[in-house]
Amino acid sequence: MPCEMITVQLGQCGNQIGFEFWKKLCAEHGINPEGVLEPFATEGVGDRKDVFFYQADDNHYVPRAVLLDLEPRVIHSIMSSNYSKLYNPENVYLSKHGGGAGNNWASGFSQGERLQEEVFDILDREAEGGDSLQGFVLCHSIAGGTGSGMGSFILEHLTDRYPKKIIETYSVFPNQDEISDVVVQPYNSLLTLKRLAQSADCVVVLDNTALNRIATDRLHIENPSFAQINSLVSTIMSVSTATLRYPSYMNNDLVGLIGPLIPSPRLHFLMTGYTPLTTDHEDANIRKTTVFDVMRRLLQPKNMMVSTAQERSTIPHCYLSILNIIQGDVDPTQVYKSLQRIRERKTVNFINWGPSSIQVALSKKSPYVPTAHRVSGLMLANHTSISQLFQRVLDQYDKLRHREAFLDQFRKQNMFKDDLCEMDDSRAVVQNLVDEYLEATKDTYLQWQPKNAVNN
Amino acid sequence: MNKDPLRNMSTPKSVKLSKQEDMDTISDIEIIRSLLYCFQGVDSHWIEFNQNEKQFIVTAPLDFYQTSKVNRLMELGYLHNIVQEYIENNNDNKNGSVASGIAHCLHEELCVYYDSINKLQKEVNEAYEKSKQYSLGNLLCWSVLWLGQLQDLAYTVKMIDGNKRGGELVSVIAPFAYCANPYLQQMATNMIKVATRPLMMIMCHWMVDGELLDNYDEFFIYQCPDINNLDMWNNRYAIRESMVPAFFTKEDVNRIFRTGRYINFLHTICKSKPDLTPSRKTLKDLRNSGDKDLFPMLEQGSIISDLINKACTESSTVVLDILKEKFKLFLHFEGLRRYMLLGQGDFVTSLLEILQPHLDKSSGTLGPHTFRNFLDTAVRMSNAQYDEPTILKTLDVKLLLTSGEDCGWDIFQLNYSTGGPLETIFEFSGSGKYSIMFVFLWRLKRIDFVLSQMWRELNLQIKTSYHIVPEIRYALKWTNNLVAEMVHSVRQIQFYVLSDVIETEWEHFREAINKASLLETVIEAHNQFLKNIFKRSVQTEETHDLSKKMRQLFESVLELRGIQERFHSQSEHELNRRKDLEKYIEEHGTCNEIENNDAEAKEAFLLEVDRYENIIKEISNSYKVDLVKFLKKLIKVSTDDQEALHSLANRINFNKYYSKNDQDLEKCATYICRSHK
Repeated sequence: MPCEMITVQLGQCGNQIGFEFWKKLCAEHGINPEGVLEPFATEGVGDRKDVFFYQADDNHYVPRAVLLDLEPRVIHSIMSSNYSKLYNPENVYLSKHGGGAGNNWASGFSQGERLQEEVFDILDREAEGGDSLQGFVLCHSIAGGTGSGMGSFILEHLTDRYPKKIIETYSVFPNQDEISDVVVQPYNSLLTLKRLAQSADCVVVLDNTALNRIATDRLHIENPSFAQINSLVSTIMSVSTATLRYPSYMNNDLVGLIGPLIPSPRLHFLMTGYTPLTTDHEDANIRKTTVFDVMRRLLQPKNMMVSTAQERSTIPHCYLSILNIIQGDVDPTQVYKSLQRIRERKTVNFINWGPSSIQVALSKKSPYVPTAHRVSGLMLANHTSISQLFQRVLDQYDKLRHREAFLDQFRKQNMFKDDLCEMDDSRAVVQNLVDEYLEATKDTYLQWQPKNAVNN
Repeated sequence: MNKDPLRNMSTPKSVKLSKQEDMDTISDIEIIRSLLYCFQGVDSHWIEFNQNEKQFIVTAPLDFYQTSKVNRLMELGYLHNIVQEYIENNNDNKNGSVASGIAHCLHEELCVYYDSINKLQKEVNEAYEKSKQYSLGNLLCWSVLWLGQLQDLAYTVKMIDGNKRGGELVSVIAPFAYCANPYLQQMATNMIKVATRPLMMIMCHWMVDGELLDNYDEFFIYQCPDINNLDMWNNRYAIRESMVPAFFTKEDVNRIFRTGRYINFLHTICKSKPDLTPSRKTLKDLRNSGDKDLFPMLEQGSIISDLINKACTESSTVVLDILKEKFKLFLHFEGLRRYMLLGQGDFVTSLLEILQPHLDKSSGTLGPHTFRNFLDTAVRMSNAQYDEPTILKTLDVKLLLTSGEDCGWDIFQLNYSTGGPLETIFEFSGSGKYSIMFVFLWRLKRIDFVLSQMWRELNLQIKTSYHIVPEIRYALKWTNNLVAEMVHSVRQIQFYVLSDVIETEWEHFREAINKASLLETVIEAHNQFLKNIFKRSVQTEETHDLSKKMRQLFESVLELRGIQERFHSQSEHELNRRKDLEKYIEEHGTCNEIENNDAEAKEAFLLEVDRYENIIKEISNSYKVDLVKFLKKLIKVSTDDQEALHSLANRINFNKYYSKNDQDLEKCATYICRSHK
């Protein structure tokens, strides 16, 4: 199939969001936790299960997923859940030594290196199994050890091994509102960001800061649990792949979907927004959500799942592109009328070095998962203010680095034994990324080139 | 010939007097005997009919009074002959059964007249035997009534004569049924009843069995010769207005026509003979009874009219039901949407991917069989594999005749040909409409696909050659930017065509046909659907200019692709050269020659990069110019019902990138925008 995707979930966080994602996909396609099609779903509704699943010889649906971790806790909980029979056990890889990466990027990276043969055996087997693989989806966090370090290693080598395949990541950024017990988080984040900038084709940024704020402020959950946050994440993941799974006239392949979102190859970090949020359903009784409502709300910063401070910034941040995936009961004529109104209001800032607009994809919705809202929408946006997130990483990195704090753990690993070049290099790459995003806010962007100093 | 037939009849100038003044005049009784023959158009001793001059000539010597009376009386004979001539010319179906029927009626009228003459003759004879006086004066008294009636009959004959036949003939008589002359009215009523009996039979037969049994070419529906079954629906039968009886409404005629056509279609094309519907059963009984006529149609809201209406509705429903159930009409509509209108997007993507390497080559190397295999692969690779077998069986490829220079893209098409009854009515394949739409949409998809490929290649190239071949950075950036610009406009056009136009119109169409109970409604909705998608996706004659501009944009994409592909392989080559060299130097060290060669190669490559950069700038500039022209044209042609076109222009220029240096564009956009409110 032209649009098969292999999902690689890495580390605690990656496996947790992956787990939620598969739960959601199963529900949407009418597949039960054991991989068997529910009786009500045997007819099919024009959905393509084969984008993310393959069918085993006994017709069970098996996720095209690879579960990797260096410590057993999360994977054990997945394998003891009622979804344990869903996964191909050969695709679940736990490091034998089981000690984890100690929240250290370098440890994760070097373990990735050590285990690469076994890991890529699994990946190669999975890739050969498909008729035509379009790409990989990587789920991980950038701050820990396994997801960030081992994730970085895998990212680099996926590009080498599968240069023609698209690599899309769902990358979780740490919560800035709470003090992390991972003191080396800034190092981890910086080193991972370099790989996301250089090896990934498209990064969907899942900002824990914003997700937590949305959970507390909008959904009124006092101390949101991981599961609650992750259900938000799985919604984003499932809707952003909806047009692949429910093919219609357009947006049926990944390149077609993300290509228009990424007019400039390095600027491939996307933020997301979703409306209406699930606990809004008290409103559903009294309100009739229209396409215009959805599109208008998606443009409000409070619905964005990335914590940037657009309003406080002096830089004229702007959108490079927007794609709204609208689901539900929608008349296409409402779409163009809504776009017309949004254009007339002139409230949305776009780049002015090239054409840009709000693109709309109308997508079918699973009939098996009831929702309270007539219309819902996910926004995937390429906005220059995402650079604030990277700037924050740079700032925190600089503070730690300045004090030479917590570097011992890194120096223990081969990569940093002799020097910290890798860190300097990563810093330069991320700085370049921030610079490029800032340049993109200006008219002169097309004449700009990144500094030559950066080495491979 | 005198233009006024009435005067011509009532004052026959033919009656002449022979000058025989030297003879004695004859008695009244003698001339009366001759006159009695004359009344019946028969020659006698004193009065003869001159065939050449069409007049009676009196050979008897008459006095002045007799002459004037005889002249008046002879008019009866003259009128009688006119009527008699018509009867002789039209009996035995010589001019069709309707005319024959009228002749029959006229003959009956004449028979009454003959009776009267018979009685008169007896009276004259009796008078003669009893030596009573019976004068020409008496005869004149008798003739008054008949003269009037024969004048009416002759007038009627004059009106209907002249090769009129069938329904046309009925139309001429019909007004008499409303005239104030009770005799004429009575006679016309009678004539209509008799004369329309054959028409009634033909009509019933047509509506019951869908066949024309019109032996004398009298019915208002006729069969065109030599129409094959595929053309049956549109061209085999036609209505000839001249033969429609005047008292039929347009609706009646239309319904009769449609009913028979449905039945004929069912019998000949669908090979299906469902039970008679109630109204048609009644019609069949009417036909079998054989003595029914169309006279009731003269009145508004007649039973027959009602019956026709019902029969038409019932037949339409029957045909629609059969088309839906037996021939899967609605399923095939869905098939057309999915494949000819590219609704099954994942299938289209698969097909593009599979075909691309083959279609880029010149045509003619691959046979239809190979393409059929590609099609099957694409089906297997997409959700199309779960589609209805009926639909998949209908789907096929069509390769156009090639001139040898065409590339594969020019000759490849999908074909969705249902054949059979559906094709007869809807001409899915025959009309070529779906084919035209497919070519347009397929092209749109191909352009989108090419852009995706370029986007992907550039992304990869930036990753891989950026650091080793830094000279191409600007070239790549500008190409990338141009591709992004093209992606943007092509995407918007694609979204407009596929979503705003096809999907929206399809929804309307689907709603309309789901509610429809008549075949007509479905046909009309389908025509409307096609008309709308052609019009709105600017594929009509009137929007030729706009679609030409759109094609020009697409051409630029293909042009860029050609150039970018070449440059891509050049820079790949350079990339590999440098990598190999580096490796060589690492292993063997370097020398002057190697360095010089390297410098030369770099310089040569740099020239290529320069050239490429210039071409990219050129294409980029011309693309912008073309796009602005396209946008202006879009705004210009967008009228009230084409508001969406204007919206398309606004979406392409959403962030006013194209209008920031073009006041014109923004101005006319705002102007139209306001005028819409």
